[in-house]
Amino acid sequence: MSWYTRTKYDCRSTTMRIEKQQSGSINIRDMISMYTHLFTCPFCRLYKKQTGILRRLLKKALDAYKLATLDAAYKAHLQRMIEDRIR
Amino acid sequence: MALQEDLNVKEWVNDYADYLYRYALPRVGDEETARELVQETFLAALESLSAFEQKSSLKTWFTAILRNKIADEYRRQASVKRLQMGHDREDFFEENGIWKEAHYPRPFGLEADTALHNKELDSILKKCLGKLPSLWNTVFALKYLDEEKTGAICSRLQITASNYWVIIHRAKLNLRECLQKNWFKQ
Repeated sequence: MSWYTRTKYDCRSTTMRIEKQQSGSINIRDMISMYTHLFTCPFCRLYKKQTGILRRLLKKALDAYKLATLDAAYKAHLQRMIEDRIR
Repeated sequence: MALQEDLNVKEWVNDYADYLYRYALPRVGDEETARELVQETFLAALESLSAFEQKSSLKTWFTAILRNKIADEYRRQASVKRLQMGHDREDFFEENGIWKEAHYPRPFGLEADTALHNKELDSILKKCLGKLPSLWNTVFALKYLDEEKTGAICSRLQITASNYWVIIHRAKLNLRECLQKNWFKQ
């Protein structure tokens, strides 16, 4: 099978290469393979677009953790524990 | 016991508990574990009060202790990591590498930016993340929250670079599909 035919059908590797490219850790060979594949595959083109959306969603969801608080009961438990220890 | 007064020990919970919890939670991806880590951090600090050098702030000191505790937690989880690689999950691709028809990516219908600020979408995402192994969630947190380099993430979690890429790849495939399925039901 020629390199082109192999690349044309390789959605598995392409989706992996998309991840690597977005992290800035793709090499030039993989980059060429990725764009060659994307040229002929609408599914992977859509996947690439959506994975960018996913990244933004994930960042936003993780940022929401910054507002998390410990519940009052657990804080009271911690407070008692500390006061017991320093007595 | 002058040191205890200097360090305001009785105010620790008030001043630092939430901060430490927020630090731990996304990194371990589990509320129960995060709470325990906060407790362990205070306990460890109490035991080594005399080792605290006033040169650094209490916050810095606590964070350093917590980071070590988190690293311990990752090590503890290391034994179950093999189970979390996801090799047992369904393969999205045919043997020759093309998408299986059942897993074809389809439009979300939220390619517009405005749709991204949507409460229902947030809860769907949370549900989808909850279906992934906890190790995958931790990888996401390190990657997107700390924006750590791949090498640093691998050494912290004690996984190889190729394992890391397998996890990211499978996690994204599963998350994308879960989002597509659930968003469409709306």
